[in-house]
This record gives sequence, C-alpha cells and structure tokens, in this order.
Amino acid sequence: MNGARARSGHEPARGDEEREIEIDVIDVLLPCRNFAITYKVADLGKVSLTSEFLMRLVHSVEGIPEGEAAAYFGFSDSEIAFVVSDLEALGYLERREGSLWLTLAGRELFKPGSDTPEIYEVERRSERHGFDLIALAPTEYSSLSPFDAALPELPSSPDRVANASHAVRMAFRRHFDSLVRRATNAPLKQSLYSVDSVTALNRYATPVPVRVRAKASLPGIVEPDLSEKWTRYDLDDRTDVVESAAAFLKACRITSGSYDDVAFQELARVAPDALADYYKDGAFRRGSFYREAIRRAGDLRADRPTILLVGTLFTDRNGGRLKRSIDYAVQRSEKSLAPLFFWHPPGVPSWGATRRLPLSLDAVRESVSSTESLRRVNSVGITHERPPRHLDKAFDSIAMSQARVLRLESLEVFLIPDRVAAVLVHVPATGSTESYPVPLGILSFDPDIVYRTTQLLSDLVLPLKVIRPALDVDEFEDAIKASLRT
Amino acid sequence: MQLFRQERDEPSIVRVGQEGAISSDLRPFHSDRVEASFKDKFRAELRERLEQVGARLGLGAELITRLTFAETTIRPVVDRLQHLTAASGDFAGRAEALCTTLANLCGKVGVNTPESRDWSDDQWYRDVLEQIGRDYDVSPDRIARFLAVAKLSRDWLGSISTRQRSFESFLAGTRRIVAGTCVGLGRSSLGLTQNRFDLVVVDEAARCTASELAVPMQSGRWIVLVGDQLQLEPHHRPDVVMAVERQAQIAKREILKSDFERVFKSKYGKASGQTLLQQYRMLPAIGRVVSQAFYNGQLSHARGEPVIPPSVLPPIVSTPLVWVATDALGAEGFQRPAADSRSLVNESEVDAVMAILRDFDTHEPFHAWLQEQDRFQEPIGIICTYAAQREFIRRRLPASGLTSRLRENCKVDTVDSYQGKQNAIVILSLVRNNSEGTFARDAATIRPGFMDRPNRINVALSRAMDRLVIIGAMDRWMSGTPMHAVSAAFRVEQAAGNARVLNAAAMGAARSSAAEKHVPRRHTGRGRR
Repeated sequence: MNGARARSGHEPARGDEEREIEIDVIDVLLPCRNFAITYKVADLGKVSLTSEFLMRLVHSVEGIPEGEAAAYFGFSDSEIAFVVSDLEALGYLERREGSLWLTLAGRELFKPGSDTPEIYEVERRSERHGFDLIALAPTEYSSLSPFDAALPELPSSPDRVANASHAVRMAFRRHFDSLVRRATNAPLKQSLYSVDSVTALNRYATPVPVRVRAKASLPGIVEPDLSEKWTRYDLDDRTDVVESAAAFLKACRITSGSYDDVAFQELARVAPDALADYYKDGAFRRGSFYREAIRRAGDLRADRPTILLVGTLFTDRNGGRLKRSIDYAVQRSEKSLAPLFFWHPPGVPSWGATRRLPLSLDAVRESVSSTESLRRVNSVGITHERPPRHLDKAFDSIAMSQARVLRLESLEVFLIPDRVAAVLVHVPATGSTESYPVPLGILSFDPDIVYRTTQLLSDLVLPLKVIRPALDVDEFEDAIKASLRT
Repeated sequence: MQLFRQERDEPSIVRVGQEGAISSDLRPFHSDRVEASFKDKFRAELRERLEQVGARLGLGAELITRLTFAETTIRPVVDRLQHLTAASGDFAGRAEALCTTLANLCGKVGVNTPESRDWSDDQWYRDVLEQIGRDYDVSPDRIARFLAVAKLSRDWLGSISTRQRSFESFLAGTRRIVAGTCVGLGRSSLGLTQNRFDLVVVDEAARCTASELAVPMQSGRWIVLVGDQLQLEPHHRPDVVMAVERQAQIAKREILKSDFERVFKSKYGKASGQTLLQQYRMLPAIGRVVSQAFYNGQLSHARGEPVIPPSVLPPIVSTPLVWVATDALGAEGFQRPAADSRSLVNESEVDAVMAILRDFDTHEPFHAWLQEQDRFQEPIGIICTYAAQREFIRRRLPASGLTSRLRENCKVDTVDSYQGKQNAIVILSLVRNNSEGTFARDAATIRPGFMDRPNRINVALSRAMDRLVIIGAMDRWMSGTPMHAVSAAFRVEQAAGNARVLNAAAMGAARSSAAEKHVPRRHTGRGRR
C-alpha cells in the first residue's frame, strides 16, 4: 500500500479542501444578431428637449393654440405653460391671444428649407452593431469553424428575441459610449440625440468559454466562470449571460447510473496498485479517492507515471498533465507508434463541448508525430450510437461499437496505444444523487496500465463499425486491429 | 408614499437621478419612467395627434388619413429596406418580401408603386407622397408642414435624454414635489437651485457633509432636517480626516461629526427638535438588540405582526434572530484583502450566504409566497460591511444556480448604501474576522478596524423587518466594542428563545446533504445520452 502511495502519490497540499477546483471547461454559443441602427448625435446646447420640440411644432403650425400644442405632446396646462415660459425667457416664442408664434429670433434659428432649429449641429449616422440576444450587450462577429458551429447554444428567451429591435434601442443608448464615442474618439461634448430606427439583420453566434468551477468541499455545486472571455466590468453588463450559463450547467446534471460501480471496478482493474487504497471489498471509496486526489499537489514525474485525476482532461491542469505524460511516454517507449489513438467519450451531455477538444487532439498529434512518427497519427472517437455533431466534427474518424457487452456510460477512456492512457468515471459529486458530472480517474504512462487500458477498451468496444474513416476503410480496420492488439 | 395614498390620489412627484439606486415606492415616478410613459401614450395616439395637426393646417380628412397612413405604415418599411440594402449580407429574400409588402400598401393608399428599386435615398417615398398630393388642391407647402410635424413626431419618440439635455428639467419644473439626492438635485441642468421651494425636507441629514446640506437648503423657505446621529456619519476620505486632524489639531470625532448633530444638540436644536423613540420597522426581538446595543434600551417597538407569514419561512430562520457563527472555522473564517482594492472579503461568509440562500430557494412555501407577494421589491437584503464583499457576492449570485425568482428577490449592497432602506429579511455579512486584536481569556480577539464605531453596525443591524441573520464571528469581539455589545444583547434574546446560533462549520458540512434532499430525484436535465 505504501508502495502504491509512493508510485501514484504526492505531497499533500495544505488547505486545499477549501480552495476552488476546476471540473470542466466547455464552450457554449452565445446567440447574437447584427442590427442596422440609424441614430443622430448632437453637440450639447442650452435649449431643453421639450423647448426644442415645441419650437419645431410652432414653426410648422404657426399660430397653433396653446391648448392644441399641449394636447399634441400630451402636456397638462401647467406643463405647457412651463415650456412656453422657458422659450419666452429665451426670446424665441411669444403668446398672442392664446396662440403661439415664433419671434424673429426664433424664426432665424431655422434655415430656409429646414424644419429643425440650428440650436446645435445634428449629425445623422447609420451603422451596424452586433448584440447578444440574452443580455443585449455588444458583441463582435467572428466566423465559426464547423466544430464551433456544432457547439451547444445558450437558450435565449423568445420574448427577448422577438422584441430585440425595440430593446436594442435602449441597449445602444446604454452602450453608446463604448460602441461609438470611444471607438471613434468622438468629442465629449457630442451626445446621442436620437435613435431613429433599428433593423434586425443577420443572426450569428459567438463561442463563450465557460470554466466549470466548484468549491473543493462542495463539488456538487458548480458555478460557471466566464472570465476567460470578459473582464469583471464586462461581466457586470452580462449577468443574464452568466445566469444562462448557470442554467445550462444545471441542465447538464446527471444522476447516478446503475453501472457506475462496475465502471469504478474497471478503473480499479486498470490501475490496481495506484488505486489499492480506494478499492476494497469490491467497493470503490469515491469520497476517499476524491479527497486524496484534490489534496495532492505533486505531478507526473519520470518516476511517478500515474496520477489521480479530478475533472476532465480539458481543464488547464489536467490538459498540461496529459501533455507531460505524452512527453515522458515518448521518451521512454521502445515500441513503434500505432497509427491511431482513441477516445471513448462518456455518455454525459456536455462532454467534449469545448474548443479545447480539437486543440487537444491537435496537441496529441503534434506531440507524438514531431518526435517519433513520420506520418500523421489519426484520432478515433468511439461511440455507441451516432455521435453528437460536435464530436463528429472533432475526430478524424468515428467508429461505432458493435460490442454486445454491458455498456458503461460513465466511463471515459483515452488511449494512445503503448504510450499513454487515461480512464475516468463521470459520476455525480460525492454524496450527491444528481449533479454536474465530476470525473474521477487516473492518467498514466505506466506501460502496464496502458496495456490494461488497451485490453479494457478492446473488451468494451470491439468489434467496431467504421462510420467515418480517416483512411481507406480496409487500411483503417487494419490500423484498429494493430492499435488495439493486446 | 403609503400614507399619502391612503388620503388622496398619487402625488405630483418626480424622482431624479439614477433609477437603479431608488426605492421601489418611487420607481414609478422616476424621470425615465415618466418620460417613457409620455412617449408610450404619444405613440399609441399618434394618428389622432397627426389628424388634429392636419386639420389645423387646413388639410382635408381624406388627405390626412392617406398621409398619416404613408408616414406611419409605409415609411417604416422603406426604412427597413434602406437598411437591408445598405448592409452587406444576403438579404435578397427579405428585401423582396418587403417590396411585395410595399406594393400592397401602395394599393391600399391608392397610388401606383414607383418603378425605382434604388433605396439609397428617399426618392421612392417622395414619389408616393407626390402621387397622394396630386389628388388634392392643396399647396405643397402645407403638405410639407404636415410632413415636418410627422418627422417631429418620429424624432420625439426616438429622442434620447442625456444628462445635459434631458426630460428631467421639464419634469422637475412642473412637479409639485421633486425628490433626489442632495448633490443630484444641485445639477445645474435641472435648474432647481434657482427656484425657491416652499418646503425642503432633507432625509438622512446626519449623513450629509456641510456642502451637501447646503445644496437643498439654499432652495427652500422652510427646512426640515431628519436624521439620526447614532447612524452613519458624513463620509470623508480617511486621508483627509487624518490631515485635518494633524494640521488643524481638531479631534477626529469633531471632524466626523455632522452639522445635523451640531444643530440638533445646539440650544436652537433643543428648542425646535424632536426625538422619535418608537420604531415600527423591526420585530421586537431585533429591535431590542439594536436598542440595547446602541440606544441604551430607550426604543419601544410598535410592530409585533410579521410582514412575512412565519409558516412560509424555512426552518433555518425559525426565530427572528439567527447568528451563523464562523468562530469554529478558525483561520478559515478570517477576512482577507481583496485582490484589487484596499477592501476586505471573507470567503467563508460568502459560502454561508449562498448556503442560506439555497435553503430559501429549496423551500417551496417560501417560493410560493415570493410569487404571490407584491409588497416588497426585494424581500431579502444581503448587507456587507465591505464593498469588495458586496462585489464578491454579486458576482457569485448569477453563477450560483439559484432560481431566477430567488435571485431577483435579493438585493446586495454595503451598509453605507443601506441607510434609510429596509428588507423583510436581512442577511448581514460582517466580513471582519482576524486574530490581530489584543489577547483576552488566552485568545486573540478581533481587531475591529472601523467596526469599532457603533454607527455603521447600528445601521447594518437595524435594516431587518422580520428576520436578521448575522454571519460572522460571534465570540471573539473585544470587550467594550459595539460588536461585543451586539453579541451580548443577542445572547439575551437567545436565552428568551427568540434567537439561535448556528455553527457555520457544521452547517457547511451538512450543506451538501441538506441540499440534496431537495434536489428532485427525477432527471431534470438532458442527463446521460
């Protein structure tokens, strides 16, 4: 047991129980739309809004009775009297027998052919601006790769989408400074005068990275962290997006599966020494495993080929560990490199919905190919049914298992044959019956563990039906046989 | 406002300033709301208004109807076409559909659809107007005037109030009561400082600096100052206070003292002032703690009937007073400096706040009450003694997975922003917790920092109407400090069965299993594929 601790273990880190842990990183699409906005800006002047409009009305309808002018704007008697007094004091308007007339000074404010007074210069502009359809905050258009386009989209309220053109007026007003003034260095004395029309144009979506975080002591309660894309100040304008992301994570919750214990049994079978402390009397002690895994601060070393994992391989920490494990494995392996590497995703809804999946696949290909292979090493996603779109777009090949064995939905297997293996069980957090999936497992470049993982994967998925081969079908099937030989 | 409504109709009042910072009773009277309602009414009655102006210009009824139709129905479609054709992208389908719509609309108004498909200027629309005008013996100038008024209407609806050129000055000049902050009302664009009001009431006058008080007082013939010198004092930058203390050799207490307090304690103040000793906000148990700790037990408590039926509250707040004590957490319950300011945060208290909110969120009767009640804008208030803690909690809330109903019923703010406000339920995060104080009974006490002054704590505790949940250290406050007095008064209520103490450490450990009890067993999400 001590030996197992020495091989897989690390120095405990103090106080880690209370720290935050990253369980997953996903990307979601934020629905957005471009809008054509016509607006006016004006230099600031001393005539009030109501006075300006009353002058315009009197200019067009000379001698309009005061009562009719009040009715036109919906003003009471005292309200119209206030506006009229303001203009009288400025010398632009006069009352005659209950009717309103511009004075000479008032008339001179209107240039011939113009129906607006030259109180200040008004400039009309028409621009296109993108807003998201959840918080109605500004967004910029960027093109999506086929993988990006297959990512899940945050739900937006139908009301918000239907009334977006109206709401965008307010949003444009709110964000005028950042959208226009700062972008164009417009003078400070210039302010938004009116938003005249808003026309909805094309819809688009922009990916938002969401780090899924939890307190180490409460892994069942996850929170989205959107700080990779936006600063704290930007997030203040986008609390609706944060709420929507939190709701998305809530919708990704899973319940305990009937065969989770079997999955842990398989995990323990793959790394019996490393997991000896946690698998006793046919039962896997998830709580002890979890606490130990988050407590340990050490990492992979040449003499420590196996480590415990909490969280997906897409988190910063685990992604770095995966890369280092490949580097160690490549340095020490004497066997020739198989032409394929495999990823058997677990049956959880959010798995792989991250732009880090294609990046991870690229990184694996690059790490392996640059050091030991003259030809490209291809990724194979192994599924039990037709894969979701984002997985279909991520892998070089997709193969569907035809195995007539017990299907372990919670089990994730990553395998570079003869080099590196990761086995993770995606289950609700310790002590919960339902939560965002918290993966628990191991990552190893120990040849024995890699060998047993290959065996496990073969047992679980073979025979495979090729859905989308990266190579010629016959060549691909031969490559699978060669790669999964045990 | 509530008393006013009992006697008569709505008051003629406008509230100026930032809408987000005003109380719920005044929100319908905020200048932005009033402006929006003016414009909504204008939009709804636009046709009638244009008809009236058309009649004044001597246009016939039929011509007015056709021109109004063109302005209100055809023109917006033309605007959309102009946008779509100017924008890059494939909008041919939508543009074609709009052209068909225009052809139908031209038919309705009895004109031929102009041939031109060039939407870069207004020529197409001018052709339509010319066709309408040709059918009547009316001078083009009068039609042009009518169209100018139609344009004025569009501009009026689209007009944007800015700080310098706003609807506020009109509302402030035409309402009998103008409400705002001292400084906000002094904005020159409002023009209020030139007017003389019959009566100026300055609420929370004990918080005003001399210059703040001067703004409203110069506008009134009769001034009433309302305040409590035992609550928050005027805010001065600490470095300024220290510099004045050092250079002018004036005691700090005297520098911080408000002019309200000086006047109130003066001979004139004693002759003309009144002290109110009966409070209506807090249930008696909460009121007694405040009274004992800050008012020498002088307050009487006039409200015994709760505003929230106790049966809808979760068991965690079964008594009016609850203290979630973080003492057992040891150093884990301590404050730490905020990353980007000189403020403080306390993460274990944030966790406790979230845990309590989850208890409320998973208690079905409370949810049902939230849905039904319309008395309180935000029944739950979370008060923090430090701004960084407020920001921390505000950022955590949207990401917390709490239901939107609960979140929307929570207000998070600092003590300084809370004076004069109240919530049915208050959760107070003390934040301050350290081992930097002197030793007493073989243990380090808490160095209280600015919590050694009672005013701030008095405000923090006296915002709660039915339930007050204090989160933070309970037992290590130095003898003689205000928090020590609060703790002692709390223990008295605990002995009387009106208060309970929960251990934050035990609560945190039990939290996940307690929360689980409320998670539905069925699969709520998309679950496993």
